[in-house]
Amino acid sequence: MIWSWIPQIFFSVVDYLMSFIDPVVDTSGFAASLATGSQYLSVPYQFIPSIIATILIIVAFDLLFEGGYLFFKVIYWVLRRFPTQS
Amino acid sequence: MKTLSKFFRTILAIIVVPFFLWVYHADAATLYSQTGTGTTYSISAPNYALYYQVGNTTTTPEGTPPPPLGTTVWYTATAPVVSVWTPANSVGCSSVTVTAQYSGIGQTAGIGVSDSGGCLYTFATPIATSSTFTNMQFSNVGIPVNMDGSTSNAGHTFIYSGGLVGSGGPAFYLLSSGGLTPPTSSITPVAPISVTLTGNPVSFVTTQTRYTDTCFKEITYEIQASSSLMSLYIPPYQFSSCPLSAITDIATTTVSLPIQGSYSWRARLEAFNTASSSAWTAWSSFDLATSTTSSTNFLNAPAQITCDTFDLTCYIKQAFVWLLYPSQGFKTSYDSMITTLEARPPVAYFYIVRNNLQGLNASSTPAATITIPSGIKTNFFNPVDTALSSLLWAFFAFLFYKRLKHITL
Repeated sequence: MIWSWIPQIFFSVVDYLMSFIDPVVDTSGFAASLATGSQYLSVPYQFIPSIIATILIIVAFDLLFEGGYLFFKVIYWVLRRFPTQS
Repeated sequence: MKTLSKFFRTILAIIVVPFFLWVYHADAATLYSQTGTGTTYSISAPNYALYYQVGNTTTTPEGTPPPPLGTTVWYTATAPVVSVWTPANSVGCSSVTVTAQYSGIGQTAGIGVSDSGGCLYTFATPIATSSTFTNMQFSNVGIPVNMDGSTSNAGHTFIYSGGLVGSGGPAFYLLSSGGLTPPTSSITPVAPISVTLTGNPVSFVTTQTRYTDTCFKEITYEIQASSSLMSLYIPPYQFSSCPLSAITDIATTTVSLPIQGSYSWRARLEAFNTASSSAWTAWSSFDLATSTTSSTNFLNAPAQITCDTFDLTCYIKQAFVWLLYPSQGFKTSYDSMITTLEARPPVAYFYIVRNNLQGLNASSTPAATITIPSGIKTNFFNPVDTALSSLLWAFFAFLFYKRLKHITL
């Protein structure tokens, strides 16, 4: 690519700046709590599987949809900061 | 002009958002998708194999080891105790008689006979159920060997084990004076150890020898990513039941790891009573290197194109590659930036939540087992389940339509 060096410099600068931030240490407490939650969820799943699966799918879809919509709004807000000819 | 710039901004946002989602999806590996074996373990009382022959004088409970040395165990019979089997002693089976005292009543057993590498002592009258042994004596030509540990004959070895926890006083003691040593359950890591792996998923293999003295419910793993100081979570390998005799088997748990670099892992046998769990294995290390298939798999175009002399199309292709295709340095610096961002806040929090949410499922090991008569399940719960889930879907569709009406770009 003819102008590879521009994004390369940008990536290197971002990488260098981010290296000053300490990495996140995952203590696996969140995962363990989800595993415990799954065990409790498995109890009603034994006799009403469709309802439990439906609720899980709807909640997951809602999280994804609203998260994506929020992400879109954030990007759009950033883009609106750029001046344009008017 | 304002409308035009707003239009271009909207188009740009619509392109940028999916691009970011696509790139991160292309870069991220599937996480914590366990494909190991292990079935549901129903929570019930530990299933100890009785060292005694209960109700059946012809079956020898071979291969049933006792609890650790010095353990005090309780015993309550679930069936009449007919005979007792012990490993062979140094003076021979026929030289020893067994006297079992329970609830203050003496009960003399028969003289021992040789049986499958040990000695079988058959009681003249079976000891009734729900009895509690208070003492058991082995007498050898005037040399009593009490089960409370006081013995004047150090050459004999009598090892007993018992079963379910009962009530009353201690039924018997473990008495050992040399010779046989009670075995202990153990686990050994097999793989991956001191290797470099390329790509996911990774299979963690262990061999374990389990005896019947302690009921282990699962194999618990600990894994740490050395390069990013992260402790990761691997779902345990669950045993379906406790063995009725000593067993040596292999367990494999397969997971996909999130980042490249060095890892350390260890495992142990987890018992219902944590104090009875086995010791952790030593830490084993391995490296997870970058997969040969590039993580930036949206850049699949060839970097170098060789053209024939008069192939104009090829030359045009070459020109476009030279203009637009990123160099190796670009890919390397981009990968490095992504790896750094994934481990740093705030992006790392998003990945932790997203990755761990994949562990949320409704069909894992249940915290409690509910038994429902099949007739009620078929005739009541199934139709209600189907009807209510259909209503839920219809309600969701209605609410989602109303939500879409209020979305503004």
